[in-house]
Amino acid sequence: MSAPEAAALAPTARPARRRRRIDLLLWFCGAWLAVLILAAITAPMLGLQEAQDAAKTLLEPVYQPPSLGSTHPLGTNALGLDMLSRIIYGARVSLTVSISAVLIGTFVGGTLGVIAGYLRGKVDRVIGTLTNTLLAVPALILLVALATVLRPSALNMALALSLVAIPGLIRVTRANTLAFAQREFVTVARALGAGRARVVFRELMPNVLLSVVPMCLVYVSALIVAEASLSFLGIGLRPPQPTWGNMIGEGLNGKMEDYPHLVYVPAAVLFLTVFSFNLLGERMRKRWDKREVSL
Amino acid sequence: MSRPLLHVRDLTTTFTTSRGEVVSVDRVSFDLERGQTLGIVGESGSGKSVLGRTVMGLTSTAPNATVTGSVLFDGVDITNPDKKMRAAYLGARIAMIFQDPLSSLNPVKLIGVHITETLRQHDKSISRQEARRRAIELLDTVRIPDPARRFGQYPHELSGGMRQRVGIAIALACRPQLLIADEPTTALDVTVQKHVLDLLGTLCEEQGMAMLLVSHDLGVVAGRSDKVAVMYAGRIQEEAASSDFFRHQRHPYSQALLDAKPHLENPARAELVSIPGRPPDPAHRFPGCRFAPRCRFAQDRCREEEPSLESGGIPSHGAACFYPLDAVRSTKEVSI
Amino acid sequence: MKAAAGKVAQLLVVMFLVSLGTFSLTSLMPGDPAVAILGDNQSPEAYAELREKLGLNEPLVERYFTWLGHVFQGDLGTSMVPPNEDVTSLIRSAFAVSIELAVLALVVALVVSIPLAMISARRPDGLLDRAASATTFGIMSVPSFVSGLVLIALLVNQLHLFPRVGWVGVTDGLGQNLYHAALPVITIALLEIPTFTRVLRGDLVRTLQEDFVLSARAKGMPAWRIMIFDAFRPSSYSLITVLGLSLAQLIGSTVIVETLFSLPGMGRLVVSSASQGNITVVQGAVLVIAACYVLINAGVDLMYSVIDPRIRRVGA
Ligand SMILES: Nc1ncnc2c1ncn2[C@@H]1O[C@H](COP(=O)(O)OP(=O)(O)O)[C@@H](O)[C@H]1O
Ligand code: SF4
Ligand SMILES: [Mg+2]
Repeated sequence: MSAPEAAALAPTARPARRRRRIDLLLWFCGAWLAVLILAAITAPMLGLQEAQDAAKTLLEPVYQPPSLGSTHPLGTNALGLDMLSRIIYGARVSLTVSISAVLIGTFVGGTLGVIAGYLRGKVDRVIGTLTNTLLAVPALILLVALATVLRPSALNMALALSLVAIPGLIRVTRANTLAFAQREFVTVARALGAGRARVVFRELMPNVLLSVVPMCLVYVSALIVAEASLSFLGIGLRPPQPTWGNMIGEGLNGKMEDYPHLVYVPAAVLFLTVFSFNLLGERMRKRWDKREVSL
Repeated sequence: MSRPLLHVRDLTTTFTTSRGEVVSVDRVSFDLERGQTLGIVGESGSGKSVLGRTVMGLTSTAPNATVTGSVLFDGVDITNPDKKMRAAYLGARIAMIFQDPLSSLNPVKLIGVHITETLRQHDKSISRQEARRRAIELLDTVRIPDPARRFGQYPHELSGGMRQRVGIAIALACRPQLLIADEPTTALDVTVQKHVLDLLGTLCEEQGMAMLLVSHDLGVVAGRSDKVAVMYAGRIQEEAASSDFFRHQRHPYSQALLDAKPHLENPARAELVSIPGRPPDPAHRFPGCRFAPRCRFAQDRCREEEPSLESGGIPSHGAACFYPLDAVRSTKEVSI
Repeated sequence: MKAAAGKVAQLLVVMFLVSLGTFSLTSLMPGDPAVAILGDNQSPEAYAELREKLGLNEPLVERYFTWLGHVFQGDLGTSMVPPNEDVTSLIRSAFAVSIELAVLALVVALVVSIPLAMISARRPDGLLDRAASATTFGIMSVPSFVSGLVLIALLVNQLHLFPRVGWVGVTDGLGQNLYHAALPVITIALLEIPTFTRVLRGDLVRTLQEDFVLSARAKGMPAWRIMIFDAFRPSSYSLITVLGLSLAQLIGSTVIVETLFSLPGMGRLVVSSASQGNITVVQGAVLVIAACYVLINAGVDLMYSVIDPRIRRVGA
């Protein structure tokens, strides 16, 4: 028997332990994402050092370690390019690509999932087979295969990444649709003479899409990692265009040992961002579950 | 006179929930003698299961429970937090059977293993063969036909009645002195109910086992208990020897409960149709008698002061009521 | 029985679609495979001859079915890049590396996450639970190429515990093999531990509230015994699903780790072949990976019936 049991049995009243703490971590993550997104949007106006064009940094020091007060607070790379500036321009790419991929994935996957869950039967089986087909090829292999066919542009990258998110979103929206379709409001809508399309798009879609928002946040973080992985492998967006993945890749081949900041700076930024999206998604899901229970 | 087997005093179980403190068992006291049966009856939600589990020290499946008061088993306080000591009692000297025999059996374990593991848990020296032999014997004791074959089957392969017999066999494994049976037949078909209840009665008698028989149905308890305690909103409202109680109920709630007794033809879980209103929200306490909002006989005093079992004035037939029904005579015959 | 047949049929369709997908995808590759293979300073006749040899002049559909016919005989063709090895044997040796990495990593992940989940589930929201959940949450947010690099910096460069790169097959000695596999395996296991722990913890917490757990406690069983012998098996369904999916996904998605540690696995084979335009190898590898997924999925369904006697009897 465990200690709390013993405590519960001891004939002494235990005061209710319920602290309403402010979720510091959540605020920290939110703040980080806000700063990052803001910096990414306003990057050209921030007066940053050179991030891409090595011809302009011939006179800059190379491999300078981070030093917060200097002109290169996060240091420079092999070509004298400013790391801070590269991080922020990298964020533009990472965030744009992964967020648009999730939006595309949610739209396509959500529509297919709701249709499969509501219509069931043959349509469900066809969509299910498609889902399984996409799942049968591991995400990275799928991306590698696509990368060999598609030119490495941001748009193509977003489209390819959305294919990774689609099967999971189909499964979850389908499951949620099955659950929502049992609820009274669908019956009511049908009783009021709503057609299938109306039920799917006006009644089910809004509810189901709202319920997958936490999962979408987790997908944003997964796709940031996927995009970085491709760049790391050298088959994503290519240098000189900076991305977090190809920045980390620059530290390979023994350079990391001498200039650890080449790896640690982008790795830390990548970690913080991925962690923040994950945490946001997780907290939202918990809220959601509680709401569902109390309904 | 020897001390009672089970001596419960002022037992109180409180749950801390998001809606506040819920007192599910409130200052409950009773004694149970060796080999005797105490029937505990009340509407669903009145705290019977929590009482049974608290006596067993199992309330803490919910980590938000607080227990006060004492439970002396054979003179030993088993609310003692010492795990080892409690483990030596649970299953061995005190056993329990549950309402739903399917969900209380592990779906992935053989019937036989449920019994042998209990045997071996409490007697490390017993060999596998011996445990197996004893398990089959126990299955036979609870009148399960073809016990050797049943030994190697899974819970879902048995009918509800058979499963509950398995539950009883598990409980009997270590020849306990006290059996707590929480709604042992509520999940069963009406025709099977009587068989299982009669079996329980017979086994208690054969083995000299005391039993806490918990049910929402007075008919289950009638004729199978030596004493009856009626619970409402976490408190015992009336307590008496069965012979007295079934002849004459003194608490208005007990009488209403008896009027509502479901008959064999009716579904097992009948509602208390004869009393308007619902049991009070346990998270929302009010002064006075707990039954007052539903009581036909409530006076001003009932809404200000809380009656105790002594309020009824007859020590051998306690009733927590200021105006017990001593004038009215019930002529109802109760049996199942 | 009917449901099982439907499932098998669906898996076959999945296989067909995957093969069709990879086949048409790889033939959409930019550039001329003949140029990719021979280099760009050969005579036009040489290119034409090679194209003829590769069957590139036939229509796509015809090529697909020719290829499929060979696949059914276990022949995945020859590599388009010199030394033009047999694709089947290329894949076989790469597959051995990948499956070893994946299986070892899953074993390590299970060894860590099962006890972790049990400790967490003992007291939900207790101190240990929250610590474990925070840790797994952090680990979950570290991409494998980052954790791999950190492990290299720590265990290789600082402590000199493991070799930096390279692979030694089991045939050259189990000890050396495991020595070289250790770091990549840990890196991959780190990816899986958070998911396994969370999934199992959730199910354990739910199972521990079941009546049969209460009745086990009423029988005087100690808490650890209930956790292992009563709660674990009925709580392992989701874990097994996740385990199966992970195994299927890992064969191939260990690309990153294989690149980081220069290991000759499936992922590297696909990446390097893709960058050389070596269509036959990519096709073959993706097909094998997808076949694994399909087989493992079928295996997971089978596993359920082993753990859950209720399904076993119904299915039989
Ligand atoms: N773990 C728990 N947490 C909070 N409240 C509980 C818990 N278990 C039981 N209760 C409350 O205790 C009261 C009595 O329940 P119970 O003993 O199951 O009634 P019954 O008489 O039907 O067996 C109910 O109001 C129930 O809501
Ligand atoms: S005390 Fe008053 S309200 Fe309570 S049961 Fe007796 S008569 Fe009714
Ligand atoms: Mg109950």
